Amino acid sequence: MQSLKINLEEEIPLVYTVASGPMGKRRLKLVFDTGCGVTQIDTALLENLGYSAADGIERVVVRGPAGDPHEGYTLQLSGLLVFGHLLPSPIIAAYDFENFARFGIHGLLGWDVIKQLHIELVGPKGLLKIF
Amino acid sequence: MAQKMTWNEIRQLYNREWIELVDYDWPEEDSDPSAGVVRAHASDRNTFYSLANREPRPKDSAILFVGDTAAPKGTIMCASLMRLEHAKS
Repeated sequence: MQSLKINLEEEIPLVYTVASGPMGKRRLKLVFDTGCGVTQIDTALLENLGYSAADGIERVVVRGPAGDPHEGYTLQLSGLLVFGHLLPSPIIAAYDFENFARFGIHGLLGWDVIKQLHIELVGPKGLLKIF
Repeated sequence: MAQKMTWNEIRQLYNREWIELVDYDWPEEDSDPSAGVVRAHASDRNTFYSLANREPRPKDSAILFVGDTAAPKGTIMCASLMRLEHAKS
C-alpha cells in the first residue's frame, strides 16, 4: 500500500502525476475529479511535452453543468504515471485550461483513470491510500 | 545553472508564479516537491510557457504553480461534472 498526501488547505484536491511525451516527461498536478469522465490536460502543457493538435485522434467538445461547450481533441500520451501505476498510452482529452490556469490547475484526473485503481480516501487526514 | 533551492525558498521567491523545476526532489508520498532548480518562471501562463519551451527542453521536469490556489471570495471552484462528446463536423 502507498499513502499520498493531499493538501487540505487547497479548495479542491490536487494530486501529482507524470505525463510523458516526445520531449520528455513532466510532473504536474491534476484535480482528483471523479465527476470528470475523461482525464483532461491543458494544451499548453501538452505542447511543452511535444504534442500538437496534429497528433489529435478526434475533435471533442467538453460540456459542463452550465455554459457553452468548448472544443478540444483527444490524444494518446506516451504514458501517464498515476500513484505509482504506469498507464501505457492512455487516451486523454486536450483542452485549454485558461480559466483554471490562474488557480494553478493543469487538468483533471478523471473517472476513466480513477476507476482503474483501488483507492481509499481518508479525508480528515488528507490521505489517499493506494492498494 | 541556477542554484538548487528548498521548496520553502522557492515558495518565498516565486509566490503566485508558474515555475519549471529541473533536478528536483519530490518524495512519492508528498503533495509538493522538497527541492529543485528553477529553470523558468513567470506570473503569466503564456509568458511562462514561452520560457519553458526554449530549447533544449529538459527530459524531466516538474511544472507547478506556487502559492495559494484558492479562488477569490465569492467564487466556487467546480471542475467536476464535465463530459466529453464527439464534435459534430
